[in-house]
Amino acid sequence: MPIDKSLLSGSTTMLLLKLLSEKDMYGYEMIETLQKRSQNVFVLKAGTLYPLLHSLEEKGYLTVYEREASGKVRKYYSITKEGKSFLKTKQEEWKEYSGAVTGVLGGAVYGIA
Amino acid sequence: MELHEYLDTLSEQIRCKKARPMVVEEIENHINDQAEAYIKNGMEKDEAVNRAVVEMGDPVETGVALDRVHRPRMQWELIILAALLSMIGLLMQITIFKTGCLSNDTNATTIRDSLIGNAVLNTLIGFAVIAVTCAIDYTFLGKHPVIIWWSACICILAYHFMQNYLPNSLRFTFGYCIATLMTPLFAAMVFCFRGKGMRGLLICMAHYVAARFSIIPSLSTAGGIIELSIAVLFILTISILKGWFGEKKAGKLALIWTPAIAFPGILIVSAFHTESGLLLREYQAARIRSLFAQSEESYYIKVIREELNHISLFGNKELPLESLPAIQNDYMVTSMLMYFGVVFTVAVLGIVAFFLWKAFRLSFKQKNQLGSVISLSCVCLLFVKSIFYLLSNIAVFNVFAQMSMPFLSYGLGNAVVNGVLTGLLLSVYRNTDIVSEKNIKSRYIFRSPIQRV
Repeated sequence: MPIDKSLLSGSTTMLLLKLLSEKDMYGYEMIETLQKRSQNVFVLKAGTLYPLLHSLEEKGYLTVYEREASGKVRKYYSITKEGKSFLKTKQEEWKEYSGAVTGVLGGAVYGIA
Repeated sequence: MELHEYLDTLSEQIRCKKARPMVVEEIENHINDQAEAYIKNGMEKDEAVNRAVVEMGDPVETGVALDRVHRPRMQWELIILAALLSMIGLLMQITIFKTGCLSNDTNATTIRDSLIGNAVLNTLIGFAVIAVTCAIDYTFLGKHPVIIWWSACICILAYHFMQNYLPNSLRFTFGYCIATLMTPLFAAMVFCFRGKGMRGLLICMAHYVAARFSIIPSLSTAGGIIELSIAVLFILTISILKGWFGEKKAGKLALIWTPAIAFPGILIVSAFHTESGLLLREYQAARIRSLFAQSEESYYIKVIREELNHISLFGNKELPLESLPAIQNDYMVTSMLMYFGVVFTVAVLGIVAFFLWKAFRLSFKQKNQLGSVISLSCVCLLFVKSIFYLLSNIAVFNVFAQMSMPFLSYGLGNAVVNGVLTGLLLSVYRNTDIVSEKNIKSRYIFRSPIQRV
């Protein structure tokens, strides 16, 4: 699949899927929520977000529908069954990875938000 | 950079022009949301918009990334399978014509050569039809489905009055083609009335029933009409199960399945009680009766059973030319069994089954809902045609006239119909990430079933 690797590198996909597993959102809402929840650590550029969302939709991890909210018709993204199981694998990989990093660095870094 | 400059640069990167509007709209909404947030924080409007545009990053980079997603896709596997099956069909047809003409009489060889020429031409036309249909944007079917449905009915009427001027061979083919092509039109109509609950379902049924009992019978193709009815039942069942007509699915299923079982049931009963004689003409009653008493009555069933006694694993290089008429049209599978044997035939039928299974999966998983229901209806028709053909060819029953085996059997009408159905399947897949069904939705009140709070 010719998806730009730089887009998928890191954990952006996992974070987005995690957000969407809690509730359906539109693009702007995702950036805002991500920023708030990570205390301004993850500032996702919209120019990165939309190609990523569209490629996740193409792969069947997300579906899109339109809904009117406060006078505007917005495209909402919703996670699919495939998306949920993909998120689960990603999370497991992440836990293993961060556990390993913690093991090397020493100390109880893992688990502190 | 100005807003429109940003959007223009971005959309220029997306090579597929059809995909541009829906992508640009979403990005523009995002920029406006961002600008509004800045304005709330006390920024001037122009400054807010400019800042929001800068925040987006490089339009070329984003556009290129979006271009990778939004481009036409070809389902090469289905195309290769369709080509393979058509080639096998052509090979079988040529074999039949060559075996049928053993004499060196010039007259006979001229006829043989012209038949082979026709077979090659039909195959080529079939492929041209697939290519043209595939290139069409199927969404036009969903824009004015009721108008298209009744326009097709007017075409049927026109055909009805003109059929006496058509050559005999074309007359039946035409009727059969039109009956088949009504199916995707009905699928589009169901799509447009979804989300309207029971009323939507009743409207769809009313349009179908009105056409089915007034105009469609004038096509005088029992086989075509039976196939259409089965496909309609399938489309309605799938859409009810998908929740397109709201909750209380069981009641709605009962609503469509009761007449679907009762109507043929009444016809069958009256076929055995012809003294009342109101519902069916005698030949129609006889055809239905023969379904239930085939082993004693039907000549073809007897002949096929007799022939099937002599089949072998690798074929006898013989064809039932004297005992069965028009085998290149109606008994392709029987001929294949006799000439090339069981192994070859099972392999070919396996390819057909694989094609149908693959097409079904793709249609079922298709995210565009109009696309999904249209391509499902095409798969259903191809499946029903194949099954009926197969059953008649292995002597289970033999009742529908003008049948055809997708890709394999001879005939221009067959090539065109299967070309359109396969082309529609491919068109839906090709447009997966390109077309937006939004414009269709906005014409009707629609509430998405996915909404969650």
